[in-house]
Amino acid sequence: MKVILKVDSIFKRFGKINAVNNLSFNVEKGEIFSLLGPNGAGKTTTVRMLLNIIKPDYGTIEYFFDNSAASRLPSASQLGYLPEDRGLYQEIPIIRTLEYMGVIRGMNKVDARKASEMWLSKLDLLDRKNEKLSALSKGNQQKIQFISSVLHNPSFAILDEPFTGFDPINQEIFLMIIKELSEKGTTILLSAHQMHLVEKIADKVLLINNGKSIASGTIEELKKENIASEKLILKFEGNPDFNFFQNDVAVERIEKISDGEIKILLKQNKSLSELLIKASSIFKINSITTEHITLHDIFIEKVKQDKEKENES
Amino acid sequence: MKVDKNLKLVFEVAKWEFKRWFKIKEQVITLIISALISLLIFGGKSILLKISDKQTEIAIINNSNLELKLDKKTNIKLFKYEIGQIDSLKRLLNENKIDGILIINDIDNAELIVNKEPAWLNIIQENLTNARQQIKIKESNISREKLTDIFKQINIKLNYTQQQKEKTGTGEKLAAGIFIALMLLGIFLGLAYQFVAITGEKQLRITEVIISAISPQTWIDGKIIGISFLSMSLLITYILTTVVFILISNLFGSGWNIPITITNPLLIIGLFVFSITGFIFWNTLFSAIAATINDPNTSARGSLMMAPVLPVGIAFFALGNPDSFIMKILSFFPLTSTPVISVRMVLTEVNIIEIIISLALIIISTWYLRKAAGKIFSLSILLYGKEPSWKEISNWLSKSTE
Repeated sequence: MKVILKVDSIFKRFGKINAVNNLSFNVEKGEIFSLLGPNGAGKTTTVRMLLNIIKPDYGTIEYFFDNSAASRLPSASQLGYLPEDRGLYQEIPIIRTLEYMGVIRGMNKVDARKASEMWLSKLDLLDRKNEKLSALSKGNQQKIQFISSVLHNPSFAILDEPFTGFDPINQEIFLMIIKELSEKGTTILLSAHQMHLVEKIADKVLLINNGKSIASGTIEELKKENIASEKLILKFEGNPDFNFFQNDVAVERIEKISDGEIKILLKQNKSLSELLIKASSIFKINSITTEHITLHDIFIEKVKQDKEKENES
Repeated sequence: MKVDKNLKLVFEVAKWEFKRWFKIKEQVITLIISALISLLIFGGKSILLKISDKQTEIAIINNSNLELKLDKKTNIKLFKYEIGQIDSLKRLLNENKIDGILIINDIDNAELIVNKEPAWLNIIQENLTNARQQIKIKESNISREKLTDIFKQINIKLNYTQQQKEKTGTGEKLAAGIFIALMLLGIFLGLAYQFVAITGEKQLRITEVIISAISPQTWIDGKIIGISFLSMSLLITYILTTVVFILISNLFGSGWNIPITITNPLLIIGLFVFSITGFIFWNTLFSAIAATINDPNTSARGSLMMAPVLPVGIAFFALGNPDSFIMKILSFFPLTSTPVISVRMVLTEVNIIEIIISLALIIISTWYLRKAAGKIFSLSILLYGKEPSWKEISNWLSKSTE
């Protein structure tokens, strides 16, 4: 696959904080690439550096579009951007704002209007096109903001926290829309902290914590790399001493959910049956549930490992 | 190719900014309100006078050879009586059936009996004095023409050493004064819109979306042009409002006129060019300042909006002596040139070379100011939570020129 964005060792420091610390990654044409991390991990700073809104202290960022030489930025028409700090003109009819956004991204007025109406219709907002943005609910305003960032059909879209502010139903709708955009040829760089959502659509992820990369690859790759492979949720009668499980060879980590309920992360390729036999001989188990390891679990695990490495050094 | 694309974008932003604030409906309403106010003041006055058109009736007892004759327009009617009827006349006065009793004792003394101070006293006084003067002229054997000639003023013909307008009337001065006031208003309104536009976009976090699509310089250029044309449109509306006010007042006999000299098309073009250049200059300066403001409600920098008062207000001094040395110098200084030269163009003949130099200087200074404003704007517009200090701003500028 052709690389369209190459980021090499970018670094940004604000005061005494390393907001982004030697981050490197490549984005390939057509993929959905996700920057994942908790709030304050350095995702938005990275995105702003990608857009040249702020400049890295060092490191390079290069785009490769249409077989041309590397450039620092794609053209306005090639790029779509949904910022984390969102805002549009509140007191102007929605359709006028969308037309303007399309025009400054290189569309002519007629095409911008057509594309705006198509998107408004897709998101059930066409009948409100002449209303002011301030008349819409927050969720609907968010939809308009999303439309403004993709209505010109960009080759590359950077979506910073696209799911924030949406209810679960709309989050699912936007998952579908992002997937559709990708299928139509738009390469997507997604920055988000809702790992369960990203897991559903991302081709590749880069996990960031404190400005540093702590893991990267496809979700399958990350799962394979991870020490734990399955999760076991056990419910007991009474409130037993969970230290029993801590020392078992099959157990990677335990988390207490509530009194009498624990989550056990099992090590890769370790037998579950032995653990259950031993446990049932000591405790009365009321229910057993198994779950696959999620991106969230991997992230927690990686952060823990990163902290341990830091402490050792 | 890139220049064309940039120019197109500047034009699109300018169009957006202009349409964002310019409301044709509001301008039409302003014109209608002006017409209505003029109609109300001057038409109303005329109607009121007609409604209160009651005739004044005065009883006159004339014991002299003074002949009192009043014009019909005065609406005062005189009724002759004898001194023996004074008691019955006083009764009529008490019952408000007549408005006064005028007793002329001789040509030097008269008595007026009234219930309250009369509004028509001056008319009576003036006409009695005229009648007395007639008698006195007759007695002194001097003809009326001779008397007029004695009191005639000496005629002084003004002969200018430099070529200039024959006469600058009060009308022209008033028009020039109104023009500066409206220009100042246009500048303030433009700055207010510029402040609201830029600080509003910053507060609504619109900046990041726009900056990812167009360069800060393109954005600020479009904003400056859009808001300057908005100021120009507002200025035109206010001038039309004044013209409508004067024309309607004239229909009701106000006697106000628009001086013919200021309707010269070349002068109008000149005023347009200097006004729009002035608006662009001020908007360029203030767009950079607005971008540095974090919160318009608390920032002290908002008060800088009053800055144009002094340099633009200086043009009022040109009304007194438009061709003074200081006014000629101020015609070239970019902060004062546009209002001062505009006033001078209305009041006097300004040499075309002076006009060209003045225009060239303001265009050149605006061009450099635009570059500096673009730099400040690009660094400030995404700076949330703090205002850059003046020292930081000057550092940015010095770095950008290195």
